[in-house]
Amino acid sequence: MVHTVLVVEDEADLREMMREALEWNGYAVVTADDGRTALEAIGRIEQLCLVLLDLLMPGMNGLEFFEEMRKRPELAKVPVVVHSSAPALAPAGVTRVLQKPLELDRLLSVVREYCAASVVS
Amino acid sequence: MEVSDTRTPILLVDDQRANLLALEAVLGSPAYELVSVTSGVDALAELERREFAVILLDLQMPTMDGVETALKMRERATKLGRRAPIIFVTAIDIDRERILRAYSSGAVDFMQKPLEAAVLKAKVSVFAELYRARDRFESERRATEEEARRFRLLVESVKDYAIFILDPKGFVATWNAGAERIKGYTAGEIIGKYFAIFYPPEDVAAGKCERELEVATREGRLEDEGWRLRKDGSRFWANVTITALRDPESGALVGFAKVTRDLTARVQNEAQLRHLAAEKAAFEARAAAENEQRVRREFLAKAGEALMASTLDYRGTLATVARLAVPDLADWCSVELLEPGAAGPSQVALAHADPSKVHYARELAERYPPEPNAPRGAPQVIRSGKSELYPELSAALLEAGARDVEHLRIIRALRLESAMVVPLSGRDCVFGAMTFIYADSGRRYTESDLSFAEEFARRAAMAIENAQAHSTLSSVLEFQERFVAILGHDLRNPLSAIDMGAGVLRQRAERAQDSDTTRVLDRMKASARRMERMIEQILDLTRSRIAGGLEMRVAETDLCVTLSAIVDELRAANPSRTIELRCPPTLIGMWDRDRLEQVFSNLVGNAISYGLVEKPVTLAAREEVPDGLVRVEVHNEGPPISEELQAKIFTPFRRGELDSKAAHTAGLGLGLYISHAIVAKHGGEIGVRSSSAEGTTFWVTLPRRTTTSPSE
Repeated sequence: MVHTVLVVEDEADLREMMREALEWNGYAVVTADDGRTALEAIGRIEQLCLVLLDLLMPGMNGLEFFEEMRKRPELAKVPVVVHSSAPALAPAGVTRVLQKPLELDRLLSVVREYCAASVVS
Repeated sequence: MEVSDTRTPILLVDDQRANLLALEAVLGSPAYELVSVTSGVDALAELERREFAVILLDLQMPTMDGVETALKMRERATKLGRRAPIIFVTAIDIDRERILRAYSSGAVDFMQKPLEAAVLKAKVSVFAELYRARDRFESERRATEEEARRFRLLVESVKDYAIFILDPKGFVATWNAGAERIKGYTAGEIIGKYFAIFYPPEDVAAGKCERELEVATREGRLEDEGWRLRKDGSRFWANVTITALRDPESGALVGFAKVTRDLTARVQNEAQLRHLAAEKAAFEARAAAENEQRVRREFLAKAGEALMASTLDYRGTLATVARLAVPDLADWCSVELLEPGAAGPSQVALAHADPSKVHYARELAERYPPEPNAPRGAPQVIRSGKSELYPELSAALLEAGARDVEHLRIIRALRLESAMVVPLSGRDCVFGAMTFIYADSGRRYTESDLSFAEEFARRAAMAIENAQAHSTLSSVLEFQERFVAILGHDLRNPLSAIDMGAGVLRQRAERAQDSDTTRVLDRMKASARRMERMIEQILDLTRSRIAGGLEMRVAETDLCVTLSAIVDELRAANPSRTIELRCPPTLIGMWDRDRLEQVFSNLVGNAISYGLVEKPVTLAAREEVPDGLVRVEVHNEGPPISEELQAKIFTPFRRGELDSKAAHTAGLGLGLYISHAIVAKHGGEIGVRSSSAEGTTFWVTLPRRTTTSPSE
């Protein structure tokens, strides 16, 4: 079973770039452009291994999403890695905080910690 | 001795009782007291006891005849100082010798028996009259003498006044104890001297003495106050009266009575008292003024604090300030401000010591809203920018402000007595007014109060303007911060996409072993890196300038790991360069790893840019033994940094003396500035050594634990 990464990012180009990068490196990716969409999608993902979470998003932002997410007991253990231009805003309790822009290699090494890829790179 | 018995005493001496009776019959009169004796001896005895106006003495008497008696009487009279005239009465014709003897014994007259009554009476009455006159004279003389004695005693004894007489020419005729005490001369020294000796030389030269005598002569008296001289030459302040003494009968000038009083003591006392009174008045005035100043100072201090403390809510502040003014500086205090769009000024604050009165006044204002075009008061002061002072609010003035009879009645009931209105002026315009009113407390405003109120209003207006500017500034600053945050965010996202995109392509190119593509993508990533760094620097700079400090997240950090990562990255970006790292296995400390990464990336990046291409760049870290600090040194060979540049190398926006080679790699000139800031925030130090022999070494020392230093 391939582990799925949920990428929550409002900026389209970056979101798609991340999808491409992660898929190319063997991960299944589900994207969402804001917190609400992400909350709706998250229930449908099997084998969710990691959430890559942007913070500053219109609609429901990353902090609100995280709060809601942690309310669900089945999602309590899912690692959340904040990927934001304002990492200082990251809420307490997230697994890791990464500063944008993140180099691909760095991103991959972080994701690798939490997710198994289908192809070993 | 007074003559208490007004009858004139007459002594009748005759041995023959019948003769005595005859004499008594002739002389008997209510005016006379007739004393009869029958012998010379008895007559002498009577004379011992009393005086007689006249003695009728019989010549022929047995034992002691008249002459002998008369002689004896004379003897006694000399002793006693009395001499009564003796009239001899004789029966016989006496011879010449006898007559002579009789006269020489002191008799004044002879009378021969038989006596002629009328003649006898006449002669006796002459002597009686003489006696009476002499008696009168005596008693008057004694009285006068007594009076004179007493007067002399008075004058002599009085020590407070110099009382003495000048003769008509002005020479001193008498002296008294007071004169001696006051002027210093003894009687012996001064009597006979001209009185100018008492006057100061300037008065003498001006002819004052002569003038005074002249005036006294003409007017009868003269009173003067002035300086006089004592014997020792010292001056005293004198009150002097000179009175012309005239003979009561002829009116001729007999001299001048001079009475002099030394006023020096009194004058001194008076002067002292005046001085004390003046001092007391001045002291009281000062105390009152100081109290007033103190009240004003306290008001200014409290109001100033209130104004200073408020930033945005100046309305609330003005209400506080108005409250502070009552009751010491006013019974009513109000503040009116021009609001944009309103017809006239609105009252933003109203205060009175009694809050119920404020409530009442507000209600009144609702019923009778103030006229925005009123010719006086706050609206006019705002229009003209000039203060108004009403030391007394006249009935006419109050009437002029009343809308109707009821309104006037209410205004009168408020008992407004004195008022001042001062403008609140900003830099460009008048935006409000402050009103102070005394009501029902008996106090009145003066020009001095107005000056104070104007000064206060100036300060208040300044504070309000500052508050407004500050609130504007706050919002501007807020906006700037948000702008920067948004900018950072908005710039970083696309940069992220580029960077990641380049990463993805590079991965594929590497797999495909397409080294050309790989190289291109490497440059793209390097550019993206640089852009990221620039964004970071801008944000840092803006944040540190506005928000007051760099953000730092301190955590346990292994410096060697951080440095390794940096070196790896830079090696990848600069494959032709040699970058050496020397680090003990671990160097653990409580630092902000990302921030330190920023610093050393910057330093090593600079070393690569400015160092000789063919020489290595070294990065060395170690623990300093004595002080436990961690030292990191970044070294490159190459042209040295001038001392001039070294001095300012950590200041912002300064680029080094760049050669064209390094120019394209330069950033915004903020790198070292921010590095310095980061190191400082960690409690460490950063510096540079550079010489042509040694090359350039940037060094950093860090304490193991970040010591918080004041934010920049």
